[in-house]
Amino acid sequence: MEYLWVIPFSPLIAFLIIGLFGYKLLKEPLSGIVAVIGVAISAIASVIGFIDVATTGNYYDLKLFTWMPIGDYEIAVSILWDPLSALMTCVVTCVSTFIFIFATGYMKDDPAYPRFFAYLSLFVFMMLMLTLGDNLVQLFFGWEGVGLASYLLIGFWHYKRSASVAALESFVVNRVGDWLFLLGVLLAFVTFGTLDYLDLFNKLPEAGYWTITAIALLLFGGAVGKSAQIPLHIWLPNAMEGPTPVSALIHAATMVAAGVYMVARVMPVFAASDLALDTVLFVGTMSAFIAATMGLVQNDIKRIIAYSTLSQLGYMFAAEGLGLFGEGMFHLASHAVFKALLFLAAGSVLIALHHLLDVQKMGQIAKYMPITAGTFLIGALALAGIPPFAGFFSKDPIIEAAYEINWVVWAFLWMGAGLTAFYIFRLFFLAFLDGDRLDPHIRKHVHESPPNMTVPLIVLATGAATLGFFKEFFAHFLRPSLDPLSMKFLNEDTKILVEEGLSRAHHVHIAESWWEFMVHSLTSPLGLLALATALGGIFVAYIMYQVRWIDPAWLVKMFKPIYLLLWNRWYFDFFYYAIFAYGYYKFSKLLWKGGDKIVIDGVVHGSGKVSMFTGDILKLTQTGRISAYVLQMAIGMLVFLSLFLFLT
Amino acid sequence: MVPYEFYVALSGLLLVLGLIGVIIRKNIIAMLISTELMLNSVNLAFVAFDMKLQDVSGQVFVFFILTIAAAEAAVGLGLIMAIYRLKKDVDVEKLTELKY
Repeated sequence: MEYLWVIPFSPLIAFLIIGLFGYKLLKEPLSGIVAVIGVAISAIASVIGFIDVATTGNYYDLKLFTWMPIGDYEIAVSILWDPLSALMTCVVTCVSTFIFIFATGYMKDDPAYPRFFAYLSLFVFMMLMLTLGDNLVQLFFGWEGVGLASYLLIGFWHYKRSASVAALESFVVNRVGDWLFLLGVLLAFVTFGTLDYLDLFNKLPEAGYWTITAIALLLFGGAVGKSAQIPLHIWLPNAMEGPTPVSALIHAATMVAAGVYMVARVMPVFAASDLALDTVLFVGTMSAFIAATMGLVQNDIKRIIAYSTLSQLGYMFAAEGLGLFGEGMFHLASHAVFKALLFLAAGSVLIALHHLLDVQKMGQIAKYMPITAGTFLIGALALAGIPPFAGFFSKDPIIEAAYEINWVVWAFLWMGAGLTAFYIFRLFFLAFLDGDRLDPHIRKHVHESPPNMTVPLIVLATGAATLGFFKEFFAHFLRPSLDPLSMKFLNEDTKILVEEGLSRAHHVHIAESWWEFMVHSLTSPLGLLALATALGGIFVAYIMYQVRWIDPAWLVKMFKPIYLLLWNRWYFDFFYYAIFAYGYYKFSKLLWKGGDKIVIDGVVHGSGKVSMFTGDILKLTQTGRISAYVLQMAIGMLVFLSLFLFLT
Repeated sequence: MVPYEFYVALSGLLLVLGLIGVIIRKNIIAMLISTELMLNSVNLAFVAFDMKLQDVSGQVFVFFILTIAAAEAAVGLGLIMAIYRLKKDVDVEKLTELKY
């Protein structure tokens, strides 16, 4: 399995090549091609490794080299290749490959074309360091690295003020989570003396319940920041200022899923504390519902999809909080495919419309862009959870299992599912069908995108349509990483501990094969209710935005307070602005006026003034007359000599 | 035989006289002469203690001091000549450039 080192380092090499020679030698088409080749190599290597793990069921822990020794413990740059990391790595590299290909078309004629691909390659390298590491420090390295790449790419069009502000916001909000995450890592190191996952899991029974809970909650704080869950979600919608391939790759498919992946990676730690699992469940459920409501009233095509990302990540966290880690990871994989598809289709629309973002000003684009519209429709159906698309097989198990564990959670997830279907089809009808609201000047130029943009769309659409049929395969595949009884690297004590933690989901039965699940879901009242909700959401969107039996403006007038609440995104941004931005400003001003002006300036200026005052007095003795100096010297000598005389 | 205290007392008297001379005289040359007086008072003290302690090193010091006093007088007078050429004056009351 030595070839696995290629996976992270091939994008790094691509990054170095493009970074060093991009502007001078490679220029426009070549630097994109180098980046695509770099990520394609790692995609191929990871698929080969994936097949190996899938057939043998082994796991590999490769230490590439020692990064830094700390006392007895050596932090190694390493590759832990087990089903979980293999799945995540495959998702990252395969989705990245298609997004890179799309980006070669999307970024055409951008003056900073090589820089874009250098950053993208850097991002993929960091993301792979995150997924492949066998210890928390390497995970944290990748964690910060993707944060940096995300910052660079959101602010890619740095001459736009909104873009640079959004980049800064995402970085600052992420820091809050990263700070908690780092505290969790440090606490884990202090407690266990090691940060390698496998050693750490086996030492779990030695630690107390509250220590484990504290570690899990601190790590989850990092996941909340990175995966943009409530209350640290505000950066993700603003991150849509970046180029659309970036939104697709980083802010939908991969980086924001890092939090979900991390929670699954250290699953035994979370499973050992039911309080931590409850917190994950609560935050996930709230995010799934609240973000879906925010998405209802947005008009920016990318922001609608961004809120849907928040909401879907909430579903993944909710699944993990319910103890259904396998389902959570499967939803992550299928979400990565259909959300990347939705974003790329939106990007294709933006290219055709010259970066017009407002869906209220679009309409009837399907006529001009049939491939984009068709693939977007597949993505939207997958997101809404309509069988037999991927979303149905990954999202519905979570909702149905939630009913058997906690009906309050189910209620929120179920309502969220209805809202999801509504807002994504509102977007679909407004942008692709409905009346002709396009500016005539733009309409003249609207045309289907070139093949290097449509082919990735078609491939991803195929994935979104068919991935659900591999439900059984994924469930079996992930078992050695997420089912305590099949996890080879756990000792017996830890297995018991984890098994107890996950017992909340033991009575839930989800059919593994896609056929059984579909039949079961379409015959049980619960499944039918979920399906009816999704279809109902689509139908409401149809009558409101396509046939216009209900006027949306009239609804807005009827439910003004609710509309305002949603339109202002539940006032989160205002609240944070008032408390943190304005409060920080006031606090800084206080420190400036009180601390800086009075205390520090007082000390600095005061010491100067004291020196000048004493100097003014002492200079009177410096008359310039030698006689006076000699007299002073004589008196001084007299004083000291008499001191000698009388004191000894 | 004169007791050594007498010599030491004379030496102290000469030193104080020299010091007073340095302090109160206004002419630089007179100040230089007073300095020589102080040096020689120290010489006298050395010789006196040498006699008392029956040790030769005191006399050795005296020769050193005599030599250095000669050199110092030469340098000092040279400096005074230079000052006089520059300022046409040797009054310390008027040579007060080096104050604040």
